Parts: sequence; structure tokens; C-alpha cells
Amino acid sequence: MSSEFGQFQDAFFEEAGEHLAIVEEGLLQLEQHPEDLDLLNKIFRSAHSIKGTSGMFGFNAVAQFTHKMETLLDLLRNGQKVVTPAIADLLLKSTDCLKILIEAAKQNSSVDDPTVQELTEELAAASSAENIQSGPSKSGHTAEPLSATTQEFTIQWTPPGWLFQRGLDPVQIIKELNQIGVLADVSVDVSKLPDLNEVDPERCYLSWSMRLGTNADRDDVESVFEFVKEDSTLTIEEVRGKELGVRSEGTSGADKASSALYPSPLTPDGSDNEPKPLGEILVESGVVSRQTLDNALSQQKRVGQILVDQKAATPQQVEQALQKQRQMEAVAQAKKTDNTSIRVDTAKIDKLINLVGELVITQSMLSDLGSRFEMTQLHVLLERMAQLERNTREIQERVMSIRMLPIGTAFSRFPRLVRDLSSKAGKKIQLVLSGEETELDKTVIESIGDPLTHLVRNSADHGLETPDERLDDNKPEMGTIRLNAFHEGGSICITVEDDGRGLNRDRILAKAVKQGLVAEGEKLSDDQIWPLIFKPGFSTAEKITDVSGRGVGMDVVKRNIEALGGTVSIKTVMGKGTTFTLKLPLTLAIIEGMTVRVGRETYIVPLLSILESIQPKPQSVKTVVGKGELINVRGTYLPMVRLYEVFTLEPEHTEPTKGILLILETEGERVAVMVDEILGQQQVVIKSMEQNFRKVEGIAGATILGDGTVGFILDVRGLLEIARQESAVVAA
Amino acid sequence: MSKTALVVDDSPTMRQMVTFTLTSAGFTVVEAENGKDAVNKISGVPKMDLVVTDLNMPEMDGIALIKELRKLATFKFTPILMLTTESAVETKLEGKEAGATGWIVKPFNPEVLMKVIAKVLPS
Amino acid sequence: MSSDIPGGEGTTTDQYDRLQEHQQAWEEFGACAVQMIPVLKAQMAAVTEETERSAMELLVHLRLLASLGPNASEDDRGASLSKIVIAMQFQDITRQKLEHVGQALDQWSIQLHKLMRGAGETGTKRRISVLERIKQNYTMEEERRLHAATISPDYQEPVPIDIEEPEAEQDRGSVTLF
Repeated sequence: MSSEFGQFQDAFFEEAGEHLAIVEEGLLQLEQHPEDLDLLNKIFRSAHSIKGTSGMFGFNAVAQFTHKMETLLDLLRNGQKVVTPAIADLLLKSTDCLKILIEAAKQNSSVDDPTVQELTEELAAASSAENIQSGPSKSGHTAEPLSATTQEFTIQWTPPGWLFQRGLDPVQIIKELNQIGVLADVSVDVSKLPDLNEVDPERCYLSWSMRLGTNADRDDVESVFEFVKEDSTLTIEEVRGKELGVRSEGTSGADKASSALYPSPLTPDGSDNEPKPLGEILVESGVVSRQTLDNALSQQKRVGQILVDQKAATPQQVEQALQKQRQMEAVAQAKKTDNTSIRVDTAKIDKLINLVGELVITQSMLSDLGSRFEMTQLHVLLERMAQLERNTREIQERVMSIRMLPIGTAFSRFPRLVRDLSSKAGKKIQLVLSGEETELDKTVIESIGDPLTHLVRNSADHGLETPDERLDDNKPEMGTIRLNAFHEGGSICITVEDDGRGLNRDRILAKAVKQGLVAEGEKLSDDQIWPLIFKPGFSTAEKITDVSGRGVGMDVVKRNIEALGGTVSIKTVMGKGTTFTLKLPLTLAIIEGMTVRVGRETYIVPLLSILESIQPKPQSVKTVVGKGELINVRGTYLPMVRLYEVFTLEPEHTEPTKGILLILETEGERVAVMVDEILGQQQVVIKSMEQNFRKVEGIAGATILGDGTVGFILDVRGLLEIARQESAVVAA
Repeated sequence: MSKTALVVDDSPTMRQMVTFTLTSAGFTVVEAENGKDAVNKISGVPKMDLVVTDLNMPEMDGIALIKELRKLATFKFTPILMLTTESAVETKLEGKEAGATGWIVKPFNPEVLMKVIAKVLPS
Repeated sequence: MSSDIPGGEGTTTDQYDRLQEHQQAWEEFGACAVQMIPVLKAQMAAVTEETERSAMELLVHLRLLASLGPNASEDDRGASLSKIVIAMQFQDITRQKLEHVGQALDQWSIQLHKLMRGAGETGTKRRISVLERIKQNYTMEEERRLHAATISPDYQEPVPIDIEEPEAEQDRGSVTLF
């Protein structure tokens, strides 16, 4: 394909991806609010869009499948159908299938998956099943996605007399019926035919009755007669006998049916990215035991063949496992080639363009100087060189900052994951996300995806209890997993918190002893015990689910984070819950900052930590023995820090009443910081202190300001500590 | 032995589009620019498989043409499709009374046109 | 009996009556114009939009077609071709719309001529409803809708553009077989 077409295609796939995300997100929300009409319309519009554009590019499989989804969605949004759990489930599965179809279109491969067929039929069935007005009992059975049904219709048709005279041919219509099904018992009624000498050969006196067995639904059959319907006598009746009796299974049947119809190899599976070895898959699906596998592996033949020879597995099972492996490979392959493009905020691009402009100016100034250089102008040369260096450095930073993405993109897979996990485990779990706008470098975001997924699974699988257990413990039935991201003290912190059972100290200790990691009888503090779970092979899970518990997760998590230069820490309380905190260093990050002045120095205060700024009244400031200076803000006393004292500067004001107090907050605690003046607000690129100099208390990082000077970024927590230490000094 | 069709419309672009669609499907097409022209062109022709005609044309409009055609033995049972911008029910009825097989609203989707033709013509 | 000069023959009262009638006729004509002009403008604006849109469609799909290599499937080509065939038809449709606008202007002009000829020619005692005549010219649903929307007092809608993209299964509205 020429590049022209390719260019269009890329845009299509990107757009389709976005629409898919909208659809999936919308469907998840729809499950909680099945009545939300706006949601339904939003989902419908995105599906419609995918259908249209994919059709335009000739991706007919995608367009056709989407059309089926769109039909059902249309019925839902028009109120002709009610959103039942079964329907929502079907739509979600269809979305997954659609993802695969689009992926296949991208790779130019075909999908022969029987799943596509099945879902297509289910969607069609769900769209055409009788209209539901209300009533849970009714929706219970008619909303069931029926698997492919062969139905029988009895059809009676009397066409209008003028049929021939308008160029229509009944044989054509009957032929068409034959194309959508199997006709039987076709009989012609000639009773209206008058005697031969009275017959008008141009009129139609005949009528037909027949039986039609077909996979199509009633509407399709009716559409064959569409154009003569108005003036014909037509009856199409379903012969009920052949319908499958899915009714009795009720809503619980949905789960059974769903798992039977939709084998899971294609479920978004965070930790199973890498295609597994065939033997692994066989062991996991319980076909062979590890022993048998090991035996087989110790010989040189191909695993599958050996196992079949040993009669440990049937050829079909091996074949299925092979297929699974192939599919996983395809998915992994696709993932690798994915994500080579990014969306960029145009503002970032604009700044970059400006900088390049400045670079050009500086460079021309230099060359201008160079053409008539004299030693007396050395200082000018040095100055301009420095300018050049500044420009290039800033461009470098800006370009790198283009790779910054909000962490929300890494969080996006979790709602779906949690939903699937919670229904699989039979628990009620809600996911709360915060700090999605925190920006990180793209590669970092990609690398934390897997560890985060594992932690979330862990919480869902082992951390959170079943609804019954929770009620027994006087906890709310619904368990919560909270994902939060924020900047702090020069790092990015991501926390995964659950309100589940917490870690079991004794069990961990016992297991550690058993594995020889800890000597028997050794005395360990809590904080020494928790990190033990990060040791390879460690798992105290009682049951190995197919999701986690095999002890290969936690150590990988730790390794991944440490490879990025970060740390993992655990906080847990038995019976209350566990919090994992991932701390990643800020090698490059951008924050919104408030620029302030103290004397002649400029500092940056992270905007997120600023609550407010005030100019205090004389009576609000107090000095308390043992606590240092305090400021009264609306009745609460907060510790006060004079920035010029901390950094030993010459301020403009030493009277708090003449300067400005910034009320800052970190981890729930507040501190008031005194500065001379607030200059403004801007985005700054954080450069690490540790990497360029050394750690400095109270400073989170540094940045180059617009005028070329260095601005320090305050570390609020650090300042709080300083305030405490100083007060202790004062007390002394 | 390809099928033959008569295409009548006073707009040359429209004629081109219909002809293009039909010839792509294997039809041999005779074009006429209004009813009178059409009648002239088909005199002497033994039979045609399909007629597609506009309604609003000078000299002889679509309805009149259909009535004329239906009088001829060779066109009595030929499927005649009206292709028009008009969507009013009265016009629909008028066409039906005159003997039209069906109609399609302009602008037409070629795929749809072929589907309709498939319905009325033995393939 | 007509007279070229307003208030030609007859008694003063007659003359006065005739003048009054003529005045009324002009006023009605003016009122009609006030309503008609926006309608015609709207119809013409619709033509421009449709032309633009069709041109864009053609551009996109012709480019697509041109860039398809020899290995492109029938489906790829077919989809673009269909869109092109649909888009090309804009010429016929816009021609009709403009013809109708021309007809409206013609009718309007006739009325104007009548009025200009003087008070006696007022056979315009009946309301000149050029608007009604214009409506009779229309052959498209779209034109009628636009006309009605432009005339009604709370006309706020932008010009509706509605080239249907009839999908395979949903063409029942635009296709009828008897």
C-alpha cells in the first residue's frame, strides 16, 4: 500500500482506538447506571463512528460486526430494549472482539475465530428478541442472548392483483426466501383463479403458503416481502417448538453461558503478556501435571508430541494449547509494535517551535560575531555560547517533556480489570482513581503497568474478602481498591491501597521459616517481616487461582520498580487493609509551580501543595515555646517558616505582616511559608538535585528559569521537617 | 447475453452515474434525456430488462413515460424504477398508479440500487 | 380598464380608492419580499454547502482510489466508488434547486411588473402569494423544509444538510417498491 493510504489508515486506527475506549468505558459505567440515556447515546455515537470510518476504509469485517453492535445499542437508546446485565456483558465481550477485529485489520490478517461468529449471532438475537416493556421477570428470559437458533416460520402470502403489471415477479421473491433458508411444503392456492375464458393473464390470482426453516430472524424474513407488503396479505408465524430452552437458566445462566462461549485466552491479561511455553499452558489448563511435563521436557522431542506419545494429553488438547499460544504471540507482537505514536499537546509543540526559533537567532548572533571577532569581545563570545547552551538544553528538556504523559493512561485498563476480577471471584470491588493528571515519562508509564496490575490483582484476589466475610467484620460489603498518584519530595508516588484483610504476619513468618529465608526463632520487627513477601517464590496464598498466588508476582514487581530506580514499601494493618507505595525518582517531570521571590532569589512552590496565600495581621503571629512560630489561620494554628532563614538569604521583608504567607499542605499537614512576593505561575521542568549536586533539605529539585538563572523548587515536606527542627532548637 | 436497461434523465451527470452503476453490473444501457427521447429510442427494440427513469423532465415527464411504456406489449411487465428527488407520498402514489414497480430517492447509493434491481430481476 | 397614470380617470373618490388599493398591493408585495428573500438565500446557501461537501467527498475518495495499489481488494475499491457515485449526483440536485430559485424570482418579477404598470392594474386585490407559487415549484423534501424553517418566526436552525448515506440495511426510507 502506498504511503498516502497508510497515512489515512494510521489516523483511522488511532481514532478507532479512542472510540473503542469510549465505548468500553461507557459500557462499564452503564452497568452501574443502566438508565443513563446520555451514556447510551455516547456509546452509540462512538460505535456508529467506528462503523462508518471502517466501512470507508473497506474494513468490512469490522464494519459489519460494529453494525450488529450498533443495532443493539440503537434499540437500547430508543428505549425499545432495557439494559440488562446479560446485555451489558454481551456488549463488553463484543467490544473485546471488536478490538481483535480491528487489530487483525491493522495487521492485515484474517480472523476466523468462531467467537466472532457466535457473538455476531448473539448480538443479532439480542436485537431482535421481543421488545421488553418492563418487569424483571420478562427481561429475565427474553434478554438472554440465545445461541444460534434455527427457527421455522409458516408464511402465507397473497400478492396484489396488479403484481405483474408493475413489473414484479413472485418467483423472484420465493427465490429470495430460498436464499435465506430452506423452503418446504410450498403450496399454491389457485382458488381465486377464474375460468380459462375469463382469466386476465395479466392479473395475479394466486397465493402461496409455505414453511421456511432459517437462521435469520423474523425481520429478515419480512424484509424479503418489503416492497409488496403494503398491498399484500402476508402472515409470517414462528413455529415455537424449535426454540432452545435457555429460559430456565435465568440470569445465572449468563455467567455459565459466557464462560462457555468465550474462552479466555483473549481476555486482557496484564501479567500474561509473554507467550507462554506450550508445556506451561498445558499444565495451567490442568491437562498434564508438572511431573509429566518435566519428564517430557527432559527428552529432546517437541513437548506436544511427547505428551501425546505418552498419552498424557490428546492431540486435540495439544492443538488447542498450540492455538492459544499462537494467539498470545499475535497479541504480544501487536503490543510491541503498538504505542509507537503519541498524542502531543499542541502547546508543547508551540513552545518547542519558539525555542528552535531562539536557537536560530543565537546561532546567527554567534556566527555574526565569529566573522569579525577580536579578543576584546571574548566576553561577548562566552555570553553567547552560554546562551546557545541554554537554548539547546531547554530544547532537550522540552522534547523529553513531550514524552510525558499523564499517568491516567496507565490507569485506564484497571476499571475493566477490576470488574472482571470482581465478578470472577464473586466479590464486590470498587476502584477509585486519583491523581490521574500526574505526568510521567512515557517509558516509565509503560514499565509500571505490569507491576501495578499485579498489585491490583493481588488486592482483588487475596487482599479483599468476600462480601460475607466483610459483613461479618462489620465492613461495608463493597471492597475498595484505591489507586493514587502524586508528586512528593522529589519523587512520584503511586499507591495501591485496599481495605481488605491486611497481611498476616504469622503466616508470612512461618512461610519464610519454612523456605529457609529466616532462621527459626529469629526475632523480627513488623517492618522487617513485610518485605519478605518480595522474595522469589514466596506466596502464602492458600489457593492458587489462575490469576495469582503462584509466587511469581511480587518479586518481579520489586525488581521492575528497582530497575527504574525506585522503591516499594508496604503498610498494612491486620483486618483493615494494605497499602503498597511505589516511589519512583523524578529524573524528569514537569509540574505547575508558583514562582515567588525572597530577596533577590526566585523559588518555585509546587502549585498542588498551595492551599492559599495570605498577608497576616500582627495579632495572628505567635511564638510558642517548644513549637516555634505559629500563625493563626481562621482559628487553627499552623507552624510558620521564614524562607529567608531556612536558606540564609537577605529578604526584602522580615515582618510577616509585610510579606506574604503561603499556606502549603503535604500528606495532610499544613505549614505556612513566608516569602517576599508572589511573582506568578508557570510550568517548570524539574531537574534532580541528587543527580546534579547532592540532596538538599527542603529542596525538591531545580529548574532553569526563563532568564537563565536557577530556580529551586521547594520540597514542602522537607520544609515542614525543618520547621519542626527549628522549633526544637528555639525551645532549647 | 447481457441484460439491457433504459436510463432516462434530463441531467447528464445523473445519467452517467446510473449508467456507470449498471454497466459495472453487466448491463447494456440505452440513455435518453426525456420521455419523448426515450420513446423514440426504444422503437424497434424487441425487449428490455429494466427501466430507470427520472420524473421531472421536459417534453414528456416520467409519469407520462411510464404510462406510455405500460401500453406497449414489450414493456408491459418490465420492472420500471423511478429515480427522483421527490419523496412526497402523492407522487409515490401517482407513480404506482401509472404502473411503476418502485422508486429510489436521489441521491442514490449504487449498492442499494443494485440490491433493489436484484430483487426485481431474475438473476 | 387600465390607466398608466396613477389616478387617471374617474371621480376623486374613485381615484382615491384606486390609489389605496395600489398602495396596499405594494405593501403586500413588500411583505412578501421580506419573507421570500431569506428563503431564496437559504436555498442558495444550501446549494453552496452541498457543493462543498460533495466536492470534499469526491476529493477524499478519489485520492483513496488513486492510492490503492494493484493488490487492493474489490471491497476497498467498491466502497470508495459507491461514495463517489453518490457525491457526483450533487450536480443534478443543486441544478434543480437553483432552477426553483430562478422560477421564484421570475414569478416575483411578474408581480413587480404588474405593480409598476400602475394603479389600475391592480387585479392584485387578491393577496399576491408568490410564496405559495414558490412552494409549488419544489420537488425536494429538503427544499420544503428549508422554506418552512426560514419563514417561521423562531427560525434559528442552520441550513440542514442531509445527504443520506443510506446503509445497506437502512434504506427503507429512500427506496420503495410497490
